Amino acid sequence: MNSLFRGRYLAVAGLACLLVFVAGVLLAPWIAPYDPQRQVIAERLQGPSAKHWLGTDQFGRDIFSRVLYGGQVSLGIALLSVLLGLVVGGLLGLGAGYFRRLDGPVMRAMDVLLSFPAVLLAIMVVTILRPGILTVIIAVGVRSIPAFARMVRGAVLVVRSLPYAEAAAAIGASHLRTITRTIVPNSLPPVLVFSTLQIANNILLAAILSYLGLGIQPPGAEWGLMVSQGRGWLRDAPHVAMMPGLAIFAVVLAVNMVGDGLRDRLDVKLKESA
Amino acid sequence: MRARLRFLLTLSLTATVAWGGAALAATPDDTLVIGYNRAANNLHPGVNASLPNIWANMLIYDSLVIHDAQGKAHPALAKRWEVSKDGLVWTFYLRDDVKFHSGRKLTATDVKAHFDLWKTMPTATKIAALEKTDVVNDTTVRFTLKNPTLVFLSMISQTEWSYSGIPDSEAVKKYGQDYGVLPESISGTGPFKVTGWVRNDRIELARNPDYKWGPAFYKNQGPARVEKVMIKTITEEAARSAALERNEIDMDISLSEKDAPRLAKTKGLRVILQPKNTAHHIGFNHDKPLLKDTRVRLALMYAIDQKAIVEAVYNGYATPSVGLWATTVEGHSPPAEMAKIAPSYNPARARQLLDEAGWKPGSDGIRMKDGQRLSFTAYGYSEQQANLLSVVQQQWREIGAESQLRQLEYAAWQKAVTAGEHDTSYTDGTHSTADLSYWWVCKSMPYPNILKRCDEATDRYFEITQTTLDPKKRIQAFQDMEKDFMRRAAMIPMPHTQWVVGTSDRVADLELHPIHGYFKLLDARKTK
Amino acid sequence: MLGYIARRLRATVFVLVGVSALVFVMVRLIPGDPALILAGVDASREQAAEVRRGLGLDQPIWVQYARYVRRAVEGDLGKSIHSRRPVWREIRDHFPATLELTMVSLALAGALGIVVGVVSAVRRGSALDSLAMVGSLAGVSMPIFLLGVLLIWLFSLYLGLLPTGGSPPCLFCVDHLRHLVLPAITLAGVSVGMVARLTRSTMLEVIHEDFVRTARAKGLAERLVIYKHALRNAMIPVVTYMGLQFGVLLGGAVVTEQIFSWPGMGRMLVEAIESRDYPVIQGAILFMAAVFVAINLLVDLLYGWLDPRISYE
Repeated sequence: MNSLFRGRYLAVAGLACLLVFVAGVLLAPWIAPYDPQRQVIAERLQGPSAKHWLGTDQFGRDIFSRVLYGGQVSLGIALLSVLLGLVVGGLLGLGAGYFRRLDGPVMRAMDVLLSFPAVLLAIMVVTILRPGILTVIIAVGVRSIPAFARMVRGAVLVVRSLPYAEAAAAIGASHLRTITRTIVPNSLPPVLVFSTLQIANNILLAAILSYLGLGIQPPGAEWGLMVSQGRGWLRDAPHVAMMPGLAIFAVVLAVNMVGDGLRDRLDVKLKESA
Repeated sequence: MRARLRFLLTLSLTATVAWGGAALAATPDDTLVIGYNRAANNLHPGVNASLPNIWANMLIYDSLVIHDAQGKAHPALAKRWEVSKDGLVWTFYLRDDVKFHSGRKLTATDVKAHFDLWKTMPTATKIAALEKTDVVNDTTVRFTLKNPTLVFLSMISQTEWSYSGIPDSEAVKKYGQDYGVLPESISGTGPFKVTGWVRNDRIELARNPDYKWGPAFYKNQGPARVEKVMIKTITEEAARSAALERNEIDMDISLSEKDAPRLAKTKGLRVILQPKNTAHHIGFNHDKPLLKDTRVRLALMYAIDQKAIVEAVYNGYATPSVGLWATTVEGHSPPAEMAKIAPSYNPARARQLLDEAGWKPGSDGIRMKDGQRLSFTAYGYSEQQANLLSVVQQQWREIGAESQLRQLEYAAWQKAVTAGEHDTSYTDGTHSTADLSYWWVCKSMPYPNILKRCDEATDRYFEITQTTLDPKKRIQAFQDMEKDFMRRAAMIPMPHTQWVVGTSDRVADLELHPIHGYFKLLDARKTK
Repeated sequence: MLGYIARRLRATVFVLVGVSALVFVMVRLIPGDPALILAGVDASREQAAEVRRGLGLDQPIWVQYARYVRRAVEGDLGKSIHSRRPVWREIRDHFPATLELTMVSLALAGALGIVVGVVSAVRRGSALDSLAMVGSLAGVSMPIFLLGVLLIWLFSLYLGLLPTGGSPPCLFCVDHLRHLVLPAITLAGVSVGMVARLTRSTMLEVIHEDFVRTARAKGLAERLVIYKHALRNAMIPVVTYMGLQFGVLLGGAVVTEQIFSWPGMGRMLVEAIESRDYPVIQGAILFMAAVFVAINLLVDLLYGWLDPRISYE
């Protein structure tokens, strides 16, 4: 770990920040001072205080506790949706790169998905399925599929043309062996870096969905939803929307810092737009 | 280099400040600018039931009759009307001095054309009783009904969602499906005519200088006092409040309750409250075995603390309900009588009822019976409803009942509750009379009767209200029905909301209607 | 070159057919019945069925699709269920606002991003560089709605300088610009950071390349080297990126338009989805996809023109 990040202060700072968040979120049941759903109407809309570190919301719920629990949902969605994109996209990319006959159809299908504006695609998916955590994971994950597919396909094509892959094929290595022994390890670094950046993107997209009222169901705690519910109080109680908003910002920033560090370290070139 | 940079910076700062100065300009003196959160999409009366359409139609069109804020019918395009002894034939005598915006004179032919077209439209349920419309002469029109009903007059009043507003039949013929869509096609007889329409953004209206047939309950029956009206769509509530504060609009008809206390204290602004004719409620799905036991439903009613809801959801801008109907709704029961019948907040009683029904607290506090948890869904279709349901969820939790919230979009909600997949659902109800009870009769299954409750008594009461020609009997039947609803826990009444309207001090003589907000804007004016 | 264009066009047609079919199916999978919404709360089931027949929604889906494609080829995207206006007219009314917002945002992002990127690259390792890069990263990490809400808060509510939203009241006036500022900055927010980062990294690459070193060795002034030789070459990927970003922003305007009540395609689409206005959803997404694909094609061709080293065979 130390050698991986040596001399990259931003990445180290990002990692530290990320670790703090992840720890806080995972330990929420032990750290959170209150039940995130507990409403005390008499204590509504209070600013930060010793009793409520980040203040309370319109229902008198403790925002600090909700940010901690909400992180479980927000970060969980981001991780699982990237995983979804990675697995589905990766398999499609592998297939397209490895089996020539699949290449055309799969990549055209990916083009179709890519030419859908991302936010609209997510909105459509959410409206078709019922709002809920699983739906958000799918809606957000679908967007990453084409990018992963392209990337893995590209890696496969490069590896295939390498002498040792050709040699492996010539001596009759099985498809599975070629894939697991040569292709997967070689495409791992770019995929790892890209996944990190994609996590950041997916946190934002999931938050957008919640913000538009299409994501997590109230009264559940999720950062985007919390910003959305608090935005009406911006004038008289800005902390209600700002605290979860800053949490999103800080985590995405930290992930991006770590991603940058990884990219420099692994010397991976990515198209920023991917 | 550095000097040049500094110069540029200074220049841009100066420009910004100058800009800011210009920004304080208010709305034009001759225009009343109204903010609303949604946009109109079709201005043919009768086509569509969305509120922005209806509100604009109130200004553009007139009907034969119109109800005032107290629910009393007044002549409008009709000077007077007669009903035959058997209640089947209604004859309306029209004013003969009414002109459309197009300059054409209004005749009985226009009235017949609209009712004939309306009969083919989806909103025709309102005039289901109408058999046919005949033109007697230019100023006389006759309706023949299939069955006698007192409700007919309400249904063809403009107050009934403005469906009965009479458009220029020539224009409707000329533009066909484009009528009400192209700004130039729209021609009514109302106090304002459409001069511009940018979709999803704004409707511009100018007063009709020839107008002199305003209803008697306005001080002014002639041309409106404001020269122009602009209805602007601003979706975000915080942005609307800010627009009002910055004088970008004169009036926010759906002011955010969150900003209302601050704006009420702001110099130059006012917050006007007007009770709404509401019957909001959480309906039980009576088909669900879990909710078949009246004691369980009653317990869920006793668990509700409406004061907390008013505070947390409406920021204080609502009133706890006693019984289903607001006291401004025709057919409501006297509150004193209702208070004795309708369950009010009493968690101890709620727990006792659940105990009696055999629901005993489990290890996590949620009650169990025969291995089943007291757990059910609660549906809603807006952010505010979800907020309300999350407070209710907490209150139910206190007595050991668990609920899962489902906030859907309206269309998806409609599909779900029609199919009956909900256990409970919040429903907004706004209506001038208790005729809204048609929601709960057997033949309204599966929708809008989402209580899924086909009840012989309810149908009998409703039948009386629709067929009797004695107004006293009609009211009595409505009151009996409401009491029956409360005794047998058909639904849980929710707080009555109100119009929370923010205006600048420049808006004077604004009259508000319990259902339709700003209504026809005949008296309102704008001071300097 | 011509062969390449022909191939790309063929692929484009394929993508558009794919998008139209996908949207068509997706739209019909959305729960909720447009006929019921159109008919209003009070409508009976018979009336709703009648409305459905009138809209052709009672036909099997492939029949509906075949009919749709046949008409779309002739340029007829159908009529909005709600406004009853042709979909292309709805698009014509709403697209300019989105286009304007997108173009201004992109110009803003480009101008600011490139300046910051170049300065960072030239002063590599300086405090200014670190600051700019952390700032860019912050921009990239900012949730777009939070930025919008913050801007409204600051500029409209506290400073009272700019309107909170809405469309400009006139075409050529100061007020128009004032309405445009906040939405444009909000939409540009993410792109500024991206462009700055990309500019910096390509500049750094180019500076170390042979021709720049040669230019420097020839004794050209440092400023000239940077601005004439390095920048021009570094711009190629940046311009490409911005071209692609243009399409992304077009789609991304949804949130910005919602926050600022900007009457563009995004808001039109959100409304259409809410009211299940099938023809509008289909037509608008198809249109956006077509614009997106066309821009990508243009960018690719432009790329080749800018950089003669690329060949299309």
